[in-house]
Amino acid sequence: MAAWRKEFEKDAKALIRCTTGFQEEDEHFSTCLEFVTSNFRFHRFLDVDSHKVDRIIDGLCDKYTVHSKADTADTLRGLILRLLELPITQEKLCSKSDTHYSVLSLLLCLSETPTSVDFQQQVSARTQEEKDSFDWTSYLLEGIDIDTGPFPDTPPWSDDDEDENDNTSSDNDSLSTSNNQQVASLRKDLYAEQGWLPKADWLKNNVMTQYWSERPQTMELTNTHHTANLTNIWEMHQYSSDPFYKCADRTPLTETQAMRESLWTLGGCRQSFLYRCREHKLLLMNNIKVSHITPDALQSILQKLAWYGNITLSLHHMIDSVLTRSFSCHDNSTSEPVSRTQQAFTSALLRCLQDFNKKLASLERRLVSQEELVTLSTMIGTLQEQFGELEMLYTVYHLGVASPSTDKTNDVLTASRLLSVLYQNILQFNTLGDAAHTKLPLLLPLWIQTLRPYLEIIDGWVNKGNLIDPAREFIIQRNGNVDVFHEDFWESAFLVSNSSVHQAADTPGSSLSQISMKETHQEENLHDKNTGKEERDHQEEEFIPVFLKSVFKEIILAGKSMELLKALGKMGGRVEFPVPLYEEFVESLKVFLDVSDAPDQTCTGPSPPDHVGTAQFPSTMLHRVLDTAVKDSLLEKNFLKAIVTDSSEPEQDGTRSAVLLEGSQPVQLALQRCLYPHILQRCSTVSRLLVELLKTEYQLEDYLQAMHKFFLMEAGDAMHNFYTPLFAKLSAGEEWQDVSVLNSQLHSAIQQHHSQHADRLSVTVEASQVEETQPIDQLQCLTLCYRVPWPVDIVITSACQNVYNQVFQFLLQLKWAKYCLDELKFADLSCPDVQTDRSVESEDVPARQKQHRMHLLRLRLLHFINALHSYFMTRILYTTALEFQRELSEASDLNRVIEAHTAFLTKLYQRCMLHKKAGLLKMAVRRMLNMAVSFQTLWDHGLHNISLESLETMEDEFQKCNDFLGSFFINMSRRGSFPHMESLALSLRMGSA
Amino acid sequence: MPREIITLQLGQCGNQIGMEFWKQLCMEHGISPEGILEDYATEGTDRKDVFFYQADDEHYIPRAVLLDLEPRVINTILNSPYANLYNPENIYMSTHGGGAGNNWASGYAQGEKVQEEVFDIIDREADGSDSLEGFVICHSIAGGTGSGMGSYMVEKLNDRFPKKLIQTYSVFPNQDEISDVVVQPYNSLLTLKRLTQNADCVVVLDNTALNRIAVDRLHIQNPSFSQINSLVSTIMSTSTTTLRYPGYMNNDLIGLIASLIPTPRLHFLMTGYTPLTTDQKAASVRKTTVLDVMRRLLQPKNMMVSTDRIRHINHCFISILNIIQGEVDPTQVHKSLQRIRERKLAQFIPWGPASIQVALSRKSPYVQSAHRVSGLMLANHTSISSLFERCLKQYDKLRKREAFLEQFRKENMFKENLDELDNSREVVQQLVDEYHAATRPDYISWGAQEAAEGRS
Repeated sequence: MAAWRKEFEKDAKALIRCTTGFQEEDEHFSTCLEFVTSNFRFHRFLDVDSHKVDRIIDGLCDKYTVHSKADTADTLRGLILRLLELPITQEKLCSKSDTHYSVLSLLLCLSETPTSVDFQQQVSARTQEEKDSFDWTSYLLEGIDIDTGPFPDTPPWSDDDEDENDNTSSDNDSLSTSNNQQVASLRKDLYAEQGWLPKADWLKNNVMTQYWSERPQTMELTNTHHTANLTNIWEMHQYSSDPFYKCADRTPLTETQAMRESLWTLGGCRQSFLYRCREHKLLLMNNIKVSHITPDALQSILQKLAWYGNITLSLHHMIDSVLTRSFSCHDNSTSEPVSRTQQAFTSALLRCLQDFNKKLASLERRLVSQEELVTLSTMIGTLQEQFGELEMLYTVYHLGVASPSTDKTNDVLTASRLLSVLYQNILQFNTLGDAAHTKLPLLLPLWIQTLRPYLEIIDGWVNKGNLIDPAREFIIQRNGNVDVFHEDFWESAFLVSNSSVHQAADTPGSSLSQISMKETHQEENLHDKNTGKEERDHQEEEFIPVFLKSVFKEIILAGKSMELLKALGKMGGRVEFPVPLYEEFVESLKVFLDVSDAPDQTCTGPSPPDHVGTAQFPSTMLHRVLDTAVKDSLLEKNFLKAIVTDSSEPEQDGTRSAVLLEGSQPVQLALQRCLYPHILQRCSTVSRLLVELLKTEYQLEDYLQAMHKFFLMEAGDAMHNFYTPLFAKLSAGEEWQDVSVLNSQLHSAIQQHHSQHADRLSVTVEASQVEETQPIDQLQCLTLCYRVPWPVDIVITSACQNVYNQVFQFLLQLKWAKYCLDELKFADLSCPDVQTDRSVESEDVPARQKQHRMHLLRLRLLHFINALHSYFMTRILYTTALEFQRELSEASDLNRVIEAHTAFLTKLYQRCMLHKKAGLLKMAVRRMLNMAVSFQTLWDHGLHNISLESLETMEDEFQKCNDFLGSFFINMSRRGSFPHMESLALSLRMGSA
Repeated sequence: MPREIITLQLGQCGNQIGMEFWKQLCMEHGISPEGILEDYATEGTDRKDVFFYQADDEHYIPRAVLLDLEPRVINTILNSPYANLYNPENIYMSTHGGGAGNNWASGYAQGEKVQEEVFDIIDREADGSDSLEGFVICHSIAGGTGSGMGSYMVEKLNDRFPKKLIQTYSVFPNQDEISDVVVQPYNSLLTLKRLTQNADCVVVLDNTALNRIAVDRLHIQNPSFSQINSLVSTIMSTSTTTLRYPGYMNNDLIGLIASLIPTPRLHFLMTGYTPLTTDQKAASVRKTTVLDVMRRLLQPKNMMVSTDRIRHINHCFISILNIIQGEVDPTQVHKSLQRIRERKLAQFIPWGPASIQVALSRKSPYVQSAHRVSGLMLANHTSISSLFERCLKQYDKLRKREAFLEQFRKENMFKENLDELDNSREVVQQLVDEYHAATRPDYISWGAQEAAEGRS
């Protein structure tokens, strides 16, 4: 036995050397030896079964017949018969012994494809090659598929990295924990992925050298069948038809090899014989040939595969870069952090690729086992679906990630773009309906997972007031320049970031405040502001993720409100949303599916009712949904897979369950039902809370009331007390611009009923910019100043105060004109000597007449000013204020409040004829006011000092202005543009008219 | 810094309507008859300081001066619950207590005699106010004290306070009871001259019309003085309501009155008030919209002046001010004005601006009213001249017979001649003429014409 064994070992070694080319010191050699030994001893060559051998031979003969080699079959049969008759040894003469069969069996085993060889040639030498490849691939694949390999430390991620990462992450506590979770889950995915990828490396290092280096330079064609020699025949044909044809030096390959190479490449392997990687592009080597395919055909097939290989390669590349960047950012805080959206996308993508790779692996197993016929084209056929998905993923990647990379620094763009692209793709496929039913289940989870960080940011911002966005990926960015305590906070604290933050420089707030500066410019400013705003809005539109557009405004609003609430320190316990937005979204998605499926359940038939009872439990619900709704087998498969693979993560079940959205169930509807309500609910809660808070605890309404009281002179008595002494001084031509005197007057005036405002209200006199051409302009430099406390100044901004001040100045001028006329005393005009001195009759006549005309002019002026006064005070101020009051009480969020307030001011501004459009009106009105003031000076000079001419010019002017305004107002009210002017117009009419 | 108004109550009638006026004000401001602010009124945003001032002990004291030449009426006041309201130093009663005996000349002469004491009081009151707006004088023009002493006071006040406004609430005698005081045409004429020349604004309260309204509108047979006086006090308090309940506008008396008076002499205003109720329990509750109120105000039967219908003169409004009280939307007011204009409910002067001015005012929160909206009209209407014409006619009749002139001749003023009477007649005639002229479109050139006529 020992001797036999020795001999056997020697032979086995020789066999191994011969077949594999391994040397005896090679580590593989011993493995091979063990394998061969065990095979010899225990597996194949135990005892021969003569019947089995007979059957095999019969089969072989049939095969030969089939291969139109009947003679070979006959020969074989004859030879075998002869062999069986032959005595084995000299001593033993028995025929058909075990030994015979053993020999036969050995021979049969050794012969792999007996049909492909010419029986006249030596069989043993030819079969060796094929048998080699078979053994090795199966062996190697066993290693790949079954265990994690004999080199468990092959993954390049060392434990050091992990430790480091942990240390730094504990340092970087600023990053939210969710980010860490994200990274962790990503890493897990990565390991799963690396379970495949490094093996490709390992394969390359350990196998492929041997696999490729020992290749015979020229592989002899072993089959004479003409189909197997198509390449040669084609070449011959070419050669014959084209005398200049140069036969390229091509390496012959088997189709199996080509297929496996392709599979590896698709799996993400970078280097292979068939494909070379140049600058992240796979190039197909064209110096190969497969015996039975023409080079062109082969080329085209392989090109196609190379294209998909490119896709996977770039996807893997992206994933790698994102991973390395996201890990490196922990160490190096200066480097740009990777947006979480991108990370989420990457991990979701990774999961898709893993699925793809699993598919590839199973395909390769099939390939390796060689139990069925697999050709390049059938392989492409089986992978077609996956290729489609792959292509779609790539499109998404390309549009969403790769193409906007021109501006790498801006993560906002990429993030929102990515989401938008995903969403649009989903919509697109959704509209395709059943035609795209395979794409949707792939894209939807991808999108939902990618959406997660975004939703988390929104949630955190809207709910907790923290805009945690280290990677600056969220569409809204906090403008660090604006403090929350600043009045511009609301306008400019948050930017919809597009390209950069420096646009913040000329953001709003400033434009409105310019209104007061120059009357001539303000309309343009207003206009500019509007157009500018529109432009900006338009610009912004492009950067807002599409699916968020409909709720975008609310989100911004709520975010701002929340931050304000936080700054106020009033958020504690008031806003409670214990369930994170994302989970809520996923939950309601489930419910949504549940609900929408319910009718299906009833109509599709005998669904067991007990499912309904268990439906509350998420895990069972899945099955139930599966039972009732899934009719599409592919969806079912996908869904089942989701359950199987991701059952450990409950919320992923949800995302997967979204897969169930069939073509009939629009995605928009799902969003509308499941996402927007949650966002809106949060937003409205927060907004309303803020408004309530402002109204109750911060007395917003009181302050608005104060503005009305003082700037719009609603507190008639107090303001009357303030301006009466002022007017007295003005009319007397005394110095009145002493700020301290004015202030003390103001304070004493408001002391009685409005003392709580005394410390906030003050009056200032600015050196007037306008040339004082007319007496009425003197008041232009008087401005009120009301210090509005934070946070109410968000609503009543200084810009608003400027508008208020302009209205105030106008009203003050009006009041002054009225005061001047009211104070006219008949006694002042008629000097006493007129009545006594009747001697000069000739002078008496015009004096009496002048006096009378002055009286009447006074009345008419007075009447005009009174009409104007009551028009403005009641018709305009009061009504407009009432309208505003109504809007204010209805406003549910701060934006609405601000809008209402601004609209109120604009309306006031227009109705008080301060707007440029009413320029003519304004001029006429101002002339009237001026006339009132100068009339008073004239009056006080006494009748003797009034020339008839000056009286006549004044009468003329009054007549003109009055007529102009009267007809103007009539026209205005008839046109309907200013219906409220009608009463004014009518009151200006003369009695005769 | 309130624009204070000092009220002078003269004579029997003046003191009676004055007392009603102060009662009304106290009610509206939540001040008890003792001058103490009621608990429910401490938070008010009304202005009490126009008509009241606070004593050291926080009591509210009216800026009122009570003058009479006989103690009867003032004693009644001093025996009423409101006895402690007034500052006792502001009450002047003639020491001999004889009264003026319905004689204007006697009242005027006595006024001259006691002027130092009276002006001590008035000066003290004037000095005690920050920015005195003016004086309100309550009196009747028929009796002795109110007309005579009132005339004297108006003259003197105008001399002493030329910059201050003088508004009078002058009660014109009831024509149905003309026989009560036979000499009232003399008294009225003489008073009218002073009112024309020295007052800035005269609110005419025609006893004839007041009685008619009490009978016709309130269905009171034989209305008593206090019922009539409550009407008067309603008018007085309402016409000052914008001063006491500050709003958007009309925060001073002058602002209210100025636009009503076109020329120095045409300052006699009529009033109208609606809806009228004697007491708050009135059964007939009408629908009161702004338009309703404003329309009713224009109806002659609601006017508190009874004018004669004169065919050949087309009387018209010179100006109208409506004081609307209550919760009113200004838009409604403007719409009502338009409606009134469209329907030409009011006839205006042909030579000047023609429109109704409106002042909105709050109501007192302490006085319950069945009406949502109520309104007072102050109107300058040319037909008021018929009152003066009536007076002139009666004067002429008396004068023709030289009747009852002995009493007048007793006083210094009329001892030498009766020029004063003739002079007064001329002044009142001019007033009537001007009112007539104001009804014509050529009023603008009226002065010249008159002068030309005078020359020719």
